[in-house]
Amino acid sequence: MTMMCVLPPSRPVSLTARADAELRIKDALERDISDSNQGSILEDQEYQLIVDCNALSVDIDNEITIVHNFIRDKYKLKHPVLESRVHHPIDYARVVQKIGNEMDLTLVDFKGILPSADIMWITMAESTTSGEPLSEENLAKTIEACDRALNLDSTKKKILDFLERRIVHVAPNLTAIVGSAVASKLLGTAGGLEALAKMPACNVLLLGAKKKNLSGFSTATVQFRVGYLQQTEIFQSTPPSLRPQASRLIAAKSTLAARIDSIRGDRTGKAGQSLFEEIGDGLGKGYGLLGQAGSGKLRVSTGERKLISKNSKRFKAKNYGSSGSRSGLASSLAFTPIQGMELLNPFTDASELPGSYHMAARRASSILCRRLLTRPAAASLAGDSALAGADGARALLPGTLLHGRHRFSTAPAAVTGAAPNDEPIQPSVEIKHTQLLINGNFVDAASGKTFSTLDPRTGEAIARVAEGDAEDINRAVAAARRAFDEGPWPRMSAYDRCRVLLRFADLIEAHAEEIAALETWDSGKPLEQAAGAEVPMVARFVRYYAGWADKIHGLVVPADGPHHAQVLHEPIGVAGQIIPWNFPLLMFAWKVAPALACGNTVVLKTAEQTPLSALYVASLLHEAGVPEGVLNVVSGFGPTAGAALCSHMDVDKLAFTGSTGTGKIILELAARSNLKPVTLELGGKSPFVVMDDADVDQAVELAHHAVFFNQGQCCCAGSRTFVHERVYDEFVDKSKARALNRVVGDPFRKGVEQGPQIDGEQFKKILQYVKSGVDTGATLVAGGDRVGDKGFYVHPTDEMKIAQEEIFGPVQTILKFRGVEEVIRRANATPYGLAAGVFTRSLDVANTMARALRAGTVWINCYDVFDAAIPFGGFKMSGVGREKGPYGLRNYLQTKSVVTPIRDAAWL
Amino acid sequence: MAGANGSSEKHEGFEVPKVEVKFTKLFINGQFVDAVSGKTFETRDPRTGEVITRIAEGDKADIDLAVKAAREAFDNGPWPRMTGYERGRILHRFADLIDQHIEELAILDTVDAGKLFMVGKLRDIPGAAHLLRYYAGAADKIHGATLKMSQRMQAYTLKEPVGVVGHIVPWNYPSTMFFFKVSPALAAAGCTVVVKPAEQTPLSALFYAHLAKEAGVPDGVLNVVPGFGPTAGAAVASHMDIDKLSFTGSTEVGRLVMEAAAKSNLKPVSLELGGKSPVIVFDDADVDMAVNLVNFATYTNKVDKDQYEKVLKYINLGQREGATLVTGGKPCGDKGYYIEPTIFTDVKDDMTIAQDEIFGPVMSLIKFKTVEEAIQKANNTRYGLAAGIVTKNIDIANTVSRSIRAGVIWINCYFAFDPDAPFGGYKMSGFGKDMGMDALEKYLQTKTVATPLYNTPWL
Repeated sequence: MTMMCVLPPSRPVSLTARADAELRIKDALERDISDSNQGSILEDQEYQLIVDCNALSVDIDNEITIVHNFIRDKYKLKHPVLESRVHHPIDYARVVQKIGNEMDLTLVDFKGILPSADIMWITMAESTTSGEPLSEENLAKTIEACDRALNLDSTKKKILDFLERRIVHVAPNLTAIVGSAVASKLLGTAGGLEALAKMPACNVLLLGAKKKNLSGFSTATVQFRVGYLQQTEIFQSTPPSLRPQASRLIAAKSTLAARIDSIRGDRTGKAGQSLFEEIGDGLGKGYGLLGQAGSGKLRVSTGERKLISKNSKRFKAKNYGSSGSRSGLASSLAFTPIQGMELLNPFTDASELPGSYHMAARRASSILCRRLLTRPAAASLAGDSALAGADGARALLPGTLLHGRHRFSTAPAAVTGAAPNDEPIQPSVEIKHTQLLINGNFVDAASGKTFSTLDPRTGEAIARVAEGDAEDINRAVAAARRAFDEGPWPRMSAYDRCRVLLRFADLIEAHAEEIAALETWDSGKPLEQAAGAEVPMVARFVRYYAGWADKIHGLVVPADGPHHAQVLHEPIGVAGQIIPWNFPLLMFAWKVAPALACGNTVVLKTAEQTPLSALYVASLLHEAGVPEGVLNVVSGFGPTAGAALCSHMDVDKLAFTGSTGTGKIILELAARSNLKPVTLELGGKSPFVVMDDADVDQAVELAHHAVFFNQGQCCCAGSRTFVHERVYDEFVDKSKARALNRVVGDPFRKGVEQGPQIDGEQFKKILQYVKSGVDTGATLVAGGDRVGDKGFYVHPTDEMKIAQEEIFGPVQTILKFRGVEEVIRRANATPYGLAAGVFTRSLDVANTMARALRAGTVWINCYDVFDAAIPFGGFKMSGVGREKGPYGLRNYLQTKSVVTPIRDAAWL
Repeated sequence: MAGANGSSEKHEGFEVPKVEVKFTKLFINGQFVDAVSGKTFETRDPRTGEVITRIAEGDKADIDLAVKAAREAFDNGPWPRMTGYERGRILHRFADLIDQHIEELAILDTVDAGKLFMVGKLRDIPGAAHLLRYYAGAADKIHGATLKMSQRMQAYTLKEPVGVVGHIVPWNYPSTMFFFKVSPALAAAGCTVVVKPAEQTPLSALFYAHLAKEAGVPDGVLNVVPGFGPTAGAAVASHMDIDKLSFTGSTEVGRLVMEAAAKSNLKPVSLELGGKSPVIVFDDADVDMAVNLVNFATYTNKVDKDQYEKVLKYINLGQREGATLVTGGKPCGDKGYYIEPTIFTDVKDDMTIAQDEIFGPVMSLIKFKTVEEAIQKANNTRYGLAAGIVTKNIDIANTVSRSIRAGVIWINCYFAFDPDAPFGGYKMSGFGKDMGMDALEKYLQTKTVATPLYNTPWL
């Protein structure tokens, strides 16, 4: 066996040269920086030092490579596969130093040196691969070489630190464009400011470029050459489609800036600043400003900085326009009427929009998002109840209700109608996060725009929130893509992922009060419902899927011939998720928890009505240790951010909860872009059937909750109450009494059952539905009007009307029927099929109805039971796919069959 | 509390911290209690043979008390009536508590079972917490099925907890084995358990019982009764009120346990017994790697005096039967129960050292020519616990994997245990699996519920 046993001879980077440089750096650091130097740059001592340092750090890099090769060749004998896992020379040296000749790697503590996935891999690999201890002599040499590598590295760090601190004094204009880190790298590689200034822009572009190979789950196995300029912030924040132009522009402007710096012009860096702005302009206008680099002339723009809006406009045109025209997909998105309303034209430039833009967008997007339901919150009966059996009925309601009743009953609630006119209770929560969460950082929207999120109690703004649009979605998807293709999340063990999610659940519980207050403030749902039921359920969902992470099994399947066949379940990739405003946090959990448990990365768009709670819990997820880029949260509107996410070519999976109309658009966008699979959880007009043998009091109470829960804003609201003719009158009387007793008021007030509707648009729509019901001959038995004169409160309303449309408000319609066959036929006579309730004591009727109703969930003698393990989703136009339970995992997994012949098999 | 002997000594390069034994009594119905008989026995440090402390010695009377507590906890207590999620939360807390006491637990296993302290600290104890978390996450994932009946019926299955479970665990991996048994039983369906740890290694089990109580496991759900096989163990095996028995240990004792179960209440039994597991090294294998692997697969730690003498007897027998002793074969050091790593060559299939489980650091090398021969020789044993294959050839790997009659096949690796990977034997190595979702089945009953359907739109 050949062995290289000699340490490479010391190269020009001798210890003395290094020590010398270190001394000079130390010396320079102690001095104050004098900007008085007005002579040639070459005479500037500061600059000289920088040039030396640069040369030195490049040499050090080379030497590290040599030393690394030496260590590797030696250490291969001991640990043959280590280098295939630990690539970085310095990491490698650290690991080697740590292991030494230890044969049992379980005894070596790698903490802090390597990520846990690598540690596990190495430990496993060691137990299965051969390796022999090094001889004493070789070990000593190897360890010495490791010391040397680490030493070199620390010197290099010192030098680079120094460089980055001083570079702004030497090259203020270049730094203004590319930042100090990139500036010093450029200088170093080019061989000084002079050399850089003489370089053509096309060469500057390639400085530091290496071809990068990726491995793993993505089709993007080879990445484009990435040079130093591509590390600049301005490049990183440019949408991918504009990046080729951007890099050319940046290179051109950087060269100009380097020239200014090399002749010591403009020490303030203002010239660089305006060059920087020109890049923005250039990206806006296209290619017009390029090609000037050689002239030596500077073009200074006096126009204002329009980078962002211009970028976004171009980008939209690029993405949605088909061959330059704005027809096709674009127009179908923009002008499809949904339930009588139009979506905005997404190409309208924000600056051209009328002042009503935000209101209009809210309206459009309120259609884009809605939905869903959890366990009903406890309700109290104010005053003297006509419902003797109500307590019994509550006992049928799940979980928290029993506690709730006691708690609520000790504090008499406000009388219906009185509360909303009181001063709103000030929530005791601080709004910490209003920016977008992209790649682990809270950032402003690329456009710099913000929108108001409103308090449904007053219609007044709670906070301004960064308004993400297509560009931000691009940034978020790029981050998620990187986190999936290269990051640790899909590569760590399922157990490690499980532990992050468990910590997340613990943190949610630790911050439960703030989260619930935020949720109530933003969405108007009763605080007792948010705190008592919804936040605990969020933690519960997260824990449920944490437990699945290490139990995702494929089948080993029997083959017809001599083949061995196994099925692998792999994460699907970058998941785009769009959630509604009716249960912002619960929908967050339904979507994010299974996606993350499977090892995917996520870009989540929240509803513009309720952006706050998701940002808050997303920050907790990061506190729990999720790597950057794994969960990105973009607040914004449906037609802009939502549409961009749906039609993104790099999103592998889409999950949406909202209205049926929007669901259609989303499916269409997915089809027209990259055929990404879509899960939809859409609207409903769910029947609640009360048979004549039912306990009427219990049925009244449950039917009441089934429709009025969460202000009636539930996709699975039992909004068509079918009651057998024999108990119909009794049922209507008791329902009326119950509705009149419903406590409507400030959701922060104790005992309140119903808060305001989400916004003015919904509010008006509901009242219109009520009017149309009366106009078409239904009898209004209770409510039907506004509560108070402020905010969006509606009286609970009972009326008799055969409704086909989803009202999404506190409106109960009570219908009469005679027989089982009839009620099955009528219950199924709807384009929806989300859920159904059956109230009967008859086992046979229950069994018949359970199978006959065409709905994704049938609740028998209960309603709105939302356990983590119970799948939920719709038949017909109520959706595609199922969430929750083990079925929810399927949405986020790919299935791969692996087949190989098997010879002389003992069995098949 | 019984005397807590201190022990702190330099050992194999590691300073094992001072031992303080906190729990030495039986753990029954949430309390540490003395044995009914008042008897105690000593537990020894296998490194030195010195007495660590005295432990309460449970026998039939104590088992009766423990089963009574477990029965009450199962029939009337909250444990089986909690949601899976609530049980999971308690077990998660239990795991967190283990994480907080890693060193203390590792020391107990070190002084009690001769485990390497660092291995305990870095692998066994965190592994125990890992197992517990795995099953905590499984507690709300026990699914029955709705059935496709061929008549106008609807039917479904319910998975119900089997009831009071008796666990008899061995000394070789005290912590790991404890949680192999206890975590699926507790998590799965809400069973209650009576554990008899090995008399050699009761210390960590008692500590775990204490932590379980602290985590919120209700009284009577987990009972730990240290004692001896013929008394306490036999009482568990033949108890009329234990619904299920799970045993890990030798094949001989497994036979006794099953017999006792048959003679008492026909309780279902699962056994994880001995093995004589082959590691098959094919000619295309990386020999160095294979040597490492086989070394890793053979040489485990040693424990008490009886076992030590048994191993030396087998080494002697091997020489007399005509196998060639290549290295080792002698005791190691003059204190404690250490034996040199021992290798025999020229071993014939039918020699005793090739057939019996020695349970010591003795490797028998057997030559073969073809794949068929290797399969035939590897299967020529009463056991079928595990097998290793070392080859680079995918066809050999696949063929041999299916041909070997053993519960686990490790290809180019060994001891690749994982909470999600079921482990358990073929043939006389036992039946029933530990670990993975399969282990839950041991502690579940399946109930089919059927009812006629009228006026159904489909079947």
